[in-house]
Amino acid sequence: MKLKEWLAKNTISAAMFRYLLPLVIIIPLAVGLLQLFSEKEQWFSRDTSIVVFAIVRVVVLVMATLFLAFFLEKKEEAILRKREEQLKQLVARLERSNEELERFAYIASHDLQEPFRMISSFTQLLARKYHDKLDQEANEYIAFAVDGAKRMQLLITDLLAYSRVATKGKRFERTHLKSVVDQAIQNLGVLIQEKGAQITTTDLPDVTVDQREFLQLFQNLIANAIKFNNQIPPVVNVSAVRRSNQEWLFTVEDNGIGIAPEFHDQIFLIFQRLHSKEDYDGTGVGLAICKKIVERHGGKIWVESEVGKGAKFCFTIPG
Amino acid sequence: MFHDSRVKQQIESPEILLIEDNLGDKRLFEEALKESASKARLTVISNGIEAMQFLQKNDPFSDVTLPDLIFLDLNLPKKDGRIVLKEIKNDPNLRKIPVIILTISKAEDDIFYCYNEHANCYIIKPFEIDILMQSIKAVMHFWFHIVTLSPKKEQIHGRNN
Repeated sequence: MKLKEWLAKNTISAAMFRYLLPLVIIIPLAVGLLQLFSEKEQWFSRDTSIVVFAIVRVVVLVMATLFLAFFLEKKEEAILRKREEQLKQLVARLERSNEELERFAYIASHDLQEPFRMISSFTQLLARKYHDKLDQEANEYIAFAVDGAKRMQLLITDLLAYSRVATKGKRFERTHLKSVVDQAIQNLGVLIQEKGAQITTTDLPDVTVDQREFLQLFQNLIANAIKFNNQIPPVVNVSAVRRSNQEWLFTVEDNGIGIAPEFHDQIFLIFQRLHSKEDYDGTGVGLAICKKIVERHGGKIWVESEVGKGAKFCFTIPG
Repeated sequence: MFHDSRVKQQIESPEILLIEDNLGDKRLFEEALKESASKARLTVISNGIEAMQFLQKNDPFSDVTLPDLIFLDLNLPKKDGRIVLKEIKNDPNLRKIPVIILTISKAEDDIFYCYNEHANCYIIKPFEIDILMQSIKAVMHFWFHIVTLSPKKEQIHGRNN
């Protein structure tokens, strides 16, 4: 039963066995019978008969082998084609579901904005116009609603930014990273001034990347380095080294509060936060965006850190 | 002198057309207009087809005065705001009227498209109501106190006669 199943399998070895086995049995038997018959009828002399049937055996076997090889090749092609087709279908299906998911996230966060802006605007309008006419409790309630609406808006904006990394990514171009990081530092001006942070950069190369995404990447990492930091002053260093011929290693290093090793993977997942809103605010999307950007560029991102000893965010990109 | 007084008359009670389908946004716009202390007269139309009928003075809008300023949302029912913009700017009677795009869309494609179709400015609807109020106030101030708008066609004809 098992042999039968194996023989029925759609593999090259089973097919070869299936077709070669009858041939190696039938051909010698048939040729032998023919030889026996010819000797009885005395078609050839005995010596000639041996030579003739030796040649017949060789010719028939060679022909059978050639035929089998040709037949199996066709069969192999068909099998390979079928497998390729199946793989292609699988990849297409995965791509489609991935696209759909990303599109869903984009549309969901985009379409959420419209009704949400109404809630936000009218609670603000309520606070603005009726502040003096309501009692303290009513004003408190409105303040909670306004505050919740503001946080919700941040979440939607961040979610939209996250899904945009895939849906709205631009083409890669040669980029002077020093000016990208300088731009990120300039964008973070208010935060840097508030905390008196010192930011230095060393040896930033020119690379082929999506410029806008890299601005966001550095901006998120530098912002985190300053935000999760109680030192006076917070110090951040952005640097790059050539790791091998194939890739660059970038690091954003700070003297901040650090991250316990058990959370080193978790922090890159969307909506994962390690601290309460009261201690450090944020939506938990920033590092997920960083991971998505780095991976879209064919690199890896990770963190090296211990609690209280600062954090060193590293990422590679090929180039 | 005569010319000056006419320009002033135009500023004093400007006609504004808001093309917007969202009731909430319509209300917010009215509030913002109220706060800007403008004496503008506001007409609100909630879909693209009707907006073009209004602007082209087709039935039932044959008696209307053309607006001095148009606020246009991009996502409109029946006829998309992008098409409305294109039709306004391709109409020789309408294209001199400044069109202010007031939309939720931050998409670069939309921003590019609108300026390319000669929108006069592009404002992304803010979440902060204070910013909305300031923006509308600033827009009204700019177009009706700083800028001199094109005289209306009827007025030019009137002077020629």
